[in-house]
Amino acid sequence: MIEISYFIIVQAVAVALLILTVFISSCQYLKYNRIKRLYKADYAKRSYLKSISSILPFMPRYKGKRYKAAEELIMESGLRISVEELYLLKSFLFILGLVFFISIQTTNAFMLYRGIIGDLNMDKSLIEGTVRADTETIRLEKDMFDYIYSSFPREKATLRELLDKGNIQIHTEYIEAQLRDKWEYIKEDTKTAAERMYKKLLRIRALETDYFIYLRALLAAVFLYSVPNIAAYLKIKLIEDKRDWEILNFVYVFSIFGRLPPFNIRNVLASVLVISDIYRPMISEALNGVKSGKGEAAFDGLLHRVEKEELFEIFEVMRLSMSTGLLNIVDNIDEMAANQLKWLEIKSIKRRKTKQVIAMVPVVLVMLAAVVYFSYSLSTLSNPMNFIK
Amino acid sequence: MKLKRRAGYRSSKGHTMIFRLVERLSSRLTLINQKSSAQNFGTSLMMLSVLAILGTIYLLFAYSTYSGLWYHKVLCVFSTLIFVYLCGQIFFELKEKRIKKDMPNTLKKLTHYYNHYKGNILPALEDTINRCPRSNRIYILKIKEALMKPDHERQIEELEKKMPTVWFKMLCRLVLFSKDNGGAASGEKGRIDRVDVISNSLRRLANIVTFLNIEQGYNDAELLGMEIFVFFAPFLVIPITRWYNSSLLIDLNLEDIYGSVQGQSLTAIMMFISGIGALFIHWMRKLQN
Repeated sequence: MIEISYFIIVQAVAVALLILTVFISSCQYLKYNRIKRLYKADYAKRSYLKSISSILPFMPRYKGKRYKAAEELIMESGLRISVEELYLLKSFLFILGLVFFISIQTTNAFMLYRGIIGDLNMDKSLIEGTVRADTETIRLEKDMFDYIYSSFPREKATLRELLDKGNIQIHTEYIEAQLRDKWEYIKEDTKTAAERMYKKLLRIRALETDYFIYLRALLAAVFLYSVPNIAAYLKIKLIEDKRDWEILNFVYVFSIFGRLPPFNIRNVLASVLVISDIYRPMISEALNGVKSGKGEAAFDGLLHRVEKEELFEIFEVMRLSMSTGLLNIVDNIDEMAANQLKWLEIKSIKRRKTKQVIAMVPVVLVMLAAVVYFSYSLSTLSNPMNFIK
Repeated sequence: MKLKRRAGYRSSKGHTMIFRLVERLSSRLTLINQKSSAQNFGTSLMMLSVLAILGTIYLLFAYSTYSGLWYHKVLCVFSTLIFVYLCGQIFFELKEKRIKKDMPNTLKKLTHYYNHYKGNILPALEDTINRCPRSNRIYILKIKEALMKPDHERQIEELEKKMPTVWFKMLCRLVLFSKDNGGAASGEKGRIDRVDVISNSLRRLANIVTFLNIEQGYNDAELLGMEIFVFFAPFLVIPITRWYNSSLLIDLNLEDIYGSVQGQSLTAIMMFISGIGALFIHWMRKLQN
């Protein structure tokens, strides 16, 4: 039997990695369940994430530079997960992706091996007479190839040497002599068989040295590792509209509830909180500040952090209203709403184009796949013509 | 607990998973039709069955088209899961979109009757229930029922949590305010142009909901077409290509060319890209609503 050890080793490593991941996850899950039974679910979850994040290979140091960057990314994109959860997800995607892609490559490689070794009509065209494959013929073919393969050890006959045009004739003649010595009563012309065996040897050796397929699997897994980050960046880009709409909603709610008793900012903030989504943490912080009696200081920290000009204006108006009174300032909010509406119309036109470009990516990919699919059988149709010429 | 009993809840893993799925569908349906989870149990179970049937049909189609190797089978199952998820989401989206679309109309009717009854909110709600679009009727009815109860403040607070859109939540707050304080009385004292703030606020609500519906409608219209194209392209390309190319290759005895491993891999990749692509565009659309 031909040695295909490195395929088996790579596959075994991948499976071992998967088993290790499943084992660690199960242990951690059981531990989590045990803690959950004794303490609160929140504490159990925190403890589980802390424990598992210490095992993750690329987990950033707590409150380090990378940790803070990840935290900011999560915050801005509104993913609503912790940094530990993000890295856990990334690691799972990487491991599952790596095992999946490596297994695909190994399956394909084994299939190619079997296909090449058992191929009795290698490179024959449709118009040439083809050999019918029965069990006996295939067994003989495999035996012949095994014998020739062992006569050309990998260390002595490298792919480069086999590919060297100057050596082709010598190699073919050597194979022919080997076949003639071993199988005296072979029905087939030994020269044809030797040429076929040589082609097979070349292809098998090429397959054995094709380490690039595993590099591709690794690259695909690395891509999967970065998918959560890509999704977060895309989300930041895509929720630009939603951010503006949310601010517009705040303006309208401010305008509506600012005119209703008890005419205080706390009431307005409570209503704004109901409709908030992306800016929920900020609104919540402001409301808590007002509730705890901080007064205007409740908005000071927020005003430093806010990047959106419109939201800055809302917070500033809210802050001012605490000293000047809500009713005196609420008319300004109406003007702001009118301006915001106009601006949003213009911004939306521009953003729709960007969204269309992003959405075109899957459209183009599907169309490309469809073209490849259609041309697949047509390329087969053209093959007999290639053989004829 | 009632739902658990009705679902015949047992501790086995399979039952728990089905129960969780039914529960999720049920809670989403509750937002739409305002029925309790127990009342929605039958509908959710039926919906789950329909989704399972659709998924089975898709799986059979995919399995008959490509299932030669283990990873083809994995991609078959993966594509089916995406298909079932998208079917479920599209069903809910259609329902929710109807509600959003009809909301400005409902608000306009409510404003009209509110002004007609001179700030008396209960008859205004009563008339709105009879004349507003059908999709919004249940919410106005629920608001009215909550208002008529003695502990209406708590009832409205609870109802607010069950409302499908943020603007219905705001409507709950406004209506509660109107019931407690009246309309004209809550106007800004001392101003010459003193107007009914509730009427004004209802008009504002209608305006903002209309604006958002239009803006989101533009985005949706463009992206929805792309999503449909991406999702259904393989269903058009695969049978037509097979039929056309088979008719060309039949004389060479190669009519089953797409049955080869390479052909099956191409089919699997196309179906997978289509599913993931449609899911991606769906996510894009969902982000802006």
